[in-house]
Amino acid sequence: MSIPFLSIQEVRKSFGSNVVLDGMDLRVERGSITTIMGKSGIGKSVLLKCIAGIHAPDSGQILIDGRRCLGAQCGPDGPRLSYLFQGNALFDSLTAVENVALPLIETTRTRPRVAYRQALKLFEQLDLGDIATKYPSQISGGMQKRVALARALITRPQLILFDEPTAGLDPQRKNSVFTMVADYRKRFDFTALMVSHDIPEALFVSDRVAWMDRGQIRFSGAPTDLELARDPNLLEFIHHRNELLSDLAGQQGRTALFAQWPELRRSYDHFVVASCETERRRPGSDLGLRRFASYQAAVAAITQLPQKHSQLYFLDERHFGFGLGGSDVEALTAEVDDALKVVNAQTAQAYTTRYRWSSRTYRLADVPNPASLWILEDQAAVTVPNSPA
Amino acid sequence: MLASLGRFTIDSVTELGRFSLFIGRALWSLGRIRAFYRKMVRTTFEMGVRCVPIILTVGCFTGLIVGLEGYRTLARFGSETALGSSVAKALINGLAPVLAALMIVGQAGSALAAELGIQRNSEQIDAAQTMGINPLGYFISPRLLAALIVFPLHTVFFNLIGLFGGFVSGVVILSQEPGVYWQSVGAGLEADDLWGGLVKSVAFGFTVTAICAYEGFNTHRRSSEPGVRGVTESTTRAVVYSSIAVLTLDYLITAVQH
Ligand SMILES: Nc1ncnc2c1ncn2[C@@H]1O[C@H](COP(=O)(O)OP(=O)(O)OP(=O)(O)O)[C@@H](O)[C@H]1O
Ligand SMILES: [Mg+2]
Repeated sequence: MSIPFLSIQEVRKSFGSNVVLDGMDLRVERGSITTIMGKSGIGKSVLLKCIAGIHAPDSGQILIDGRRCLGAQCGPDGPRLSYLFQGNALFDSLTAVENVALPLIETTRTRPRVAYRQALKLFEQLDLGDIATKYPSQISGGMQKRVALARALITRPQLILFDEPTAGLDPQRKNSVFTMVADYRKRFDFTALMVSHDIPEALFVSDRVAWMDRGQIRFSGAPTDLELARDPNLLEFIHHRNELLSDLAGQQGRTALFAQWPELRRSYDHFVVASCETERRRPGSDLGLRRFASYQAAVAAITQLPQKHSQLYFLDERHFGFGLGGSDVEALTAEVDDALKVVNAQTAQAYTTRYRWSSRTYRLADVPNPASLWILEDQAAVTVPNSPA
Repeated sequence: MLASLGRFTIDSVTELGRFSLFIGRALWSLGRIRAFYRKMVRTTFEMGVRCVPIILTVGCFTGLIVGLEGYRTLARFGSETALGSSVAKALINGLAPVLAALMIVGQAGSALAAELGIQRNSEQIDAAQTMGINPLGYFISPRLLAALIVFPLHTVFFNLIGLFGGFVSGVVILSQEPGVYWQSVGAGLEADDLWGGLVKSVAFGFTVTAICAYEGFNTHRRSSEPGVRGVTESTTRAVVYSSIAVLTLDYLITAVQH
């Protein structure tokens, strides 16, 4: 395994009785972009400040490029580091362009005029053209953020700590910040540690992602591994959208399903999973708003069925499930399918994209827990074609 | 009781140690300041210009009062002609350095503490550090040096305005001959006093600026509450401590001079 560029070992930091970092370990490979996620107030900024040398850890060590750095002073030939503060921390007595040129003028031999020229070039790239001579208090929060970003990039640092570089930006500007980070990384080859809550945007530009909770890194891996994580807090965090949708649909989610499964098995004979296939010929993408509308229509249709059924559980934005009682399962599922067909027909008229709902029924006796249900579902998806036409 | 006295002593000594270290480091980083002259000119100008109106007002009134009072006292002994000397004596090594220093504390010292407090709160000082800029060198040292220029300059300015105030009292209001007044002023000027006044103003300037800068710079560490309250606290403390320091120093220096 290669030597990490940044290595954090057993770092502890508390403020009074408030333990913020509790034996934190993290390795960041050279040239990689690592995103740290975590709930508000969990200590992400404190971690970055420890790395930048603003806070001294109570114990443990932080090595940058194999050196132990006390403060930001790793010496003039030490690794260059820059820090994009969550609150920007622009100097309010200097204009935007002076702010950006400041680190060059103060810490290198660059002549002021050359520094200003470089700063202006960066302004152009960041779409900041005409605010160069304005003071930070005269420009919007999003612009301040980008000025701060320019200030962090101008010294061509080897390690950049981004504390929520996209907070407060509109979605397009957010994307341009991520694009720029990715693009600059290719050109100048820095290592980045970024705190961001922008799921999934931040994950697309990251090589690694780490999840911080209760003073430690609880998950760390490639973004694609994130979906395999087990930590329920992490799952809740990354699937925040599902939580929102299940709340809006007024349904309980998977956690409840796991908890109530034994109860379901006792009271019902079958479990039905309703699922939605999207069918579209033209390329394009959507926000899932229409799908969610059809989801709600399907939920309403099932709820109105006269049969004995359990509450509906939100599985994800295209699946829900419920227990079904009664002996004549053929007839019952046929009724469910009929109801879904009506929904399909209605949405087919409303939208060009087709949202096709279908259902699969399992004998609860065969399914000891929801996890084995997922396995059955996987097989069904492979073997059984979409049922109702 | 004894314990709290002990703790107070320890705290005071620690604080004094920190303060000295702060000054030492600020002076040490003087050598490595970029664009030194530009920064000095800018800081001196900011600090100096800010105080002109208050020095003008207070200097003029001080001169007026000293002139009136002095005239009345001198008239009792029939020596009104010595008015100029007595105004000059009262101002140059007595009132001018102290009052000018107190006024600059109120005007520029408080502003300095508040500014640094805000810069501390908005992480500008931390940002400087992460950029590899020495915060003491960038934020503090130029101001300490500027104080060494601004305080004596304003003291001289205060003297001139004060003498003019005395002139207004003696000549314009109490109709003394202008020639008599200015001649007496000239007779009252002594090199020792002039130097004494300047020495005081330099000492005040340095101490006061160091105190205000220290309070502002350490807003995060010394205040019971962060945020706006922290800045208010540091500013208040800066002004109070500075004023006490000016009066104490004045007493000490005067005692040494005699
Ligand atoms: N200088 C400080 N003094 C005392 N406590 C602090 C200090 N800085 C941070 N804390 C505490 O440390 C904890 C973590 O704060 P931190 O700012 O790192 O959170 P965060 O994860 O960055 O949150 P957010 O996502 O909201 O920015 C908080 O409980 C905070 O009160
Ligand atoms: Mg934070």
